[in-house]
Amino acid sequence: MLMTRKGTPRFVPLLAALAMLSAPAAAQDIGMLCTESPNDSFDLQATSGYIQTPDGNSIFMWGFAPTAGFFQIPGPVLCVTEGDTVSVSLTNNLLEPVSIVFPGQQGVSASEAAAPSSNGLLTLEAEPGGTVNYSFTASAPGTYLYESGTMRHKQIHMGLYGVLVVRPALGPNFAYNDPDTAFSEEFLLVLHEIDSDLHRAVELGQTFDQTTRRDRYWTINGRSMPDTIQANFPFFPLLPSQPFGALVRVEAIDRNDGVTDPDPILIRYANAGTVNHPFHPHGDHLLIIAQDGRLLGEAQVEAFTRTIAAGQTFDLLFTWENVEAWRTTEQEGNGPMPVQVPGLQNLVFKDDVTFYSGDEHLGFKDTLPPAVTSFNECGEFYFPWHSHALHTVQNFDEGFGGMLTLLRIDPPGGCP
Amino acid sequence: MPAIVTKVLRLCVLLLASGPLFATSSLAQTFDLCATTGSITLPGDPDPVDVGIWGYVLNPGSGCDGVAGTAKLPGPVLRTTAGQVVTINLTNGLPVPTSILIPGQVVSASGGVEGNFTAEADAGNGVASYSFTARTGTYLYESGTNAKVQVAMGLHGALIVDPQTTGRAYEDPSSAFDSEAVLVLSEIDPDLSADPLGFEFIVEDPSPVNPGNFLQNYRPVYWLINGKAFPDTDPISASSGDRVLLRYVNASFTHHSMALLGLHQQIIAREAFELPSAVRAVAETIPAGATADMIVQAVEGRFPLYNRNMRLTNAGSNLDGGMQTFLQVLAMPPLLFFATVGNTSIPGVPPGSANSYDDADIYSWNGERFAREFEARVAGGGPANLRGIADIDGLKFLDADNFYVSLRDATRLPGGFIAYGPDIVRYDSGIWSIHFDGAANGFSTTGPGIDAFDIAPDGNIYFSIHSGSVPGLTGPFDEADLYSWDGIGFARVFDASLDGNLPNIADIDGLNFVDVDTFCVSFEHSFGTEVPGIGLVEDEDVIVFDNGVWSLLFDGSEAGTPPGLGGNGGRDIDALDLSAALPCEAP
Repeated sequence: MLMTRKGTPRFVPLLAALAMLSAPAAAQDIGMLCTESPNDSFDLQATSGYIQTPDGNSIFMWGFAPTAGFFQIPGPVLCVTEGDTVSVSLTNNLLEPVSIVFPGQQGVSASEAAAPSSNGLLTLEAEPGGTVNYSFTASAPGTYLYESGTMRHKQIHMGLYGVLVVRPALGPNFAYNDPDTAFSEEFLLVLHEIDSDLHRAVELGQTFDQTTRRDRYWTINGRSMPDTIQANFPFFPLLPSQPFGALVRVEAIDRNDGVTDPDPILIRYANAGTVNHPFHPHGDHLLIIAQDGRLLGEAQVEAFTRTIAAGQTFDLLFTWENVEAWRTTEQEGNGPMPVQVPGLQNLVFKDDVTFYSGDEHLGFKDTLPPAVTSFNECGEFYFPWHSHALHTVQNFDEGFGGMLTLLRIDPPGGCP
Repeated sequence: MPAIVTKVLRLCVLLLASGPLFATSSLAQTFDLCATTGSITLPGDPDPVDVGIWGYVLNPGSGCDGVAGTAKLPGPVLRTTAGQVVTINLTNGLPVPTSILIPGQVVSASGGVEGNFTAEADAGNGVASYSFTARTGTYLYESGTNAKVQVAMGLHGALIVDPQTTGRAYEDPSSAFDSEAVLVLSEIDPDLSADPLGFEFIVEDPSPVNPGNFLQNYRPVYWLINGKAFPDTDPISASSGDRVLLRYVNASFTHHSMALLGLHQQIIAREAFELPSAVRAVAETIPAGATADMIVQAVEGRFPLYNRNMRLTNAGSNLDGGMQTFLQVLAMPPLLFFATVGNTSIPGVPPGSANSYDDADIYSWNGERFAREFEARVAGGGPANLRGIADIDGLKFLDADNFYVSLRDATRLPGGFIAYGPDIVRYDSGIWSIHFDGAANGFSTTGPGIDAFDIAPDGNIYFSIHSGSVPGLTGPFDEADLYSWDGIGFARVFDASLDGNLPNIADIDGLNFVDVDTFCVSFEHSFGTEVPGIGLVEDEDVIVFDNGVWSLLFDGSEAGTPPGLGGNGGRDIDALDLSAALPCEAP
């Protein structure tokens, strides 16, 4: 079941056009998919639906979906530019009051767009059938959560969350108003957990008793491994309500090859869940440049594992540098990846599929046993990227799974 | 130069939130604590729940006498100053030995009996003492004896050590704050509370290999800030513009990601060590046993502060509860009240309903922004509506329903009578009346009138005139002289040229009068008035005369957004009064 879908024909543009508020300019297979609006006005509904888990379960969820679109988890990634006046309308198609709060934004105003609405603990709430409009000036660039402000312990757990990206005035390929935050591609990894029993209780109209909570699924972008590495908007009927893949791809760079290196990739972490997650890629460090939409400045740090606390976001720059010349050819005599690869006769390929290229050199493929299907395209490397709370790297006691995705290292220049 | 005003304001708002927490006095070097039982009431669904606790009670010089059974959560905030040699005398009113640890301080213990971590006070009113030389910062103090039970039962509290410089969390100037709140985070498992002596020995499998003596059944279901669960938690109060210091102290066994909605918190220190560079966060984790200091730049509003790990319920209830409260930031109180010359707009103040900006409107300034306090003409006409000709040129402001004005020109007021230039008129909840009748006391109704005035607590009136003369007094008359009226006669109390060294051109058009040596004025001349010791004072400024020395109190050309009442040809403060928040005295 492990597949990347790069280069495969699919119906992405059609689905994207239907499901998004406005279709992303080019619905790319991997990387963050923005939803933009010419007047920074977004119409969302709180509604219910189901997601699929890799073990064959389907789970009842609540989510923020485009008013004119399909149910999805997480909500659309709302992309705006610094200084924009953002307007988000929320129509409540659930059976209890719902609202949206925007942590990290200042001066959010709420007004009733369609009755009924009522004043909640944190903000104005849309009663069932009502619409509330939230408006604010996106005053500072960064990565932010938006989430339910009503019965948060229940509603956010049920899936009422999404991410807001505020682009800096400096330009869309910068994370902040700082030339050092230029990036080539960007990837969003939103963390969340699911107690399937509590979701079932809500589906059946029973009590949501937080004290009984025991999570069984852990998700990145609403999916669990191996679905995390499936493409954005995979073709029907795969993951119809989980449009966002979580595969991270970076091109290896070699500072000595005389070729201009691409900018780093930008990783946007957000923890919409309830639990703090210690999260890391294998293979290299990252530069943590910002937290909760604010540049860290002097406090920026190169790190491997970062615990993303509930409610936090981080922005990280990532470069995979070819410091040991792993990418170059055998003929030139440079070293392979410094891992002792067992002989093929000693390897077991689970389900006879693999991402392994058969060669320990970056950019080269070699023979694999007959009947083993490799999804490796051009000798690229794959590393895990996951929560190191390893009990979360499973799907209801079945592993590998859960809060795990892959980092794909392409050879310098990318796959041919 | 709003800095002048701001500085004054700072002095006024250097207040502390959460009064009861600070009942223990600062600078005390000895704290006598009694560890004893008690109870707290937690919000329930539907009925409140009483839960037994163990806690610390401050009981100077008296051991546990008179306080047994009265403990609350958390323990008292112990506050001292860096360098003080602090001694905590602990008397044990509990049925088990107990002790105190203060992680982060170098403590020497004495008395009592030897324990695993420190000296312990024995059950039955045993005493142990703990001494340390206080190091700056925010700390947790807690039981060091069978801590898994005793800390969970409530034997914990916050220790605050102020640096030598007041108004700061640490010596570093960047840690300066205007108001603060201590937030002790804790949790309650009612089953433990019901059986603190037996709970740790309850095992599901009481076999010889699993004999108990640990908290395997510990399941906290209440999540508290300062011993209370929402909706009983106390809000944090602050004023707009404050740097609010949040001192988080996590006495629970759980990490807590604490989020503030609508503002960022600047993390300045962790466990009493300042960060080399501050980090701004929406949510930040306070690990179990740790402390963190964060500063919030407050703006007006109500900001939820809550546990983003969603510990937002009370036991199995589905109502909002748990570890959350609100940062309640009130607008700054007005500092000064004024009216303008001409119908000129005021920065940040929306237009009025009938006349956009009226020279009989009364405005205020609170150090941050302008506001309209009284609208002279209301759309549709109200009973209190003034006519277009009305131009307030003198003001004594009590509140928006109660003030005194003088009017530049003869104006027919609601109620049918005419107020003349030398009159002072009272407005009281929609009713206009004559307070001082100029014509009855020798002024001419057709002549120039009162240009600025104040009314003293004894009722005496102090004023300045546009031009002309004051009945019964001899000239020369200066438009910057000040006169008094005591109900019988007039007197000159301030000679502008002799007492104030003011140039001839000076014309006082706004007055707040404390006494003959201390008063505040604004001037009329739009091109500025040269004042000794200050230089050119613009007509939108307010200056103070304090025992012969002039200084600037309010710089109108720098106030507001966009800045500036005035500049050239701008708004002239034509009438003024000061609130209690801005005393008329040299800054």
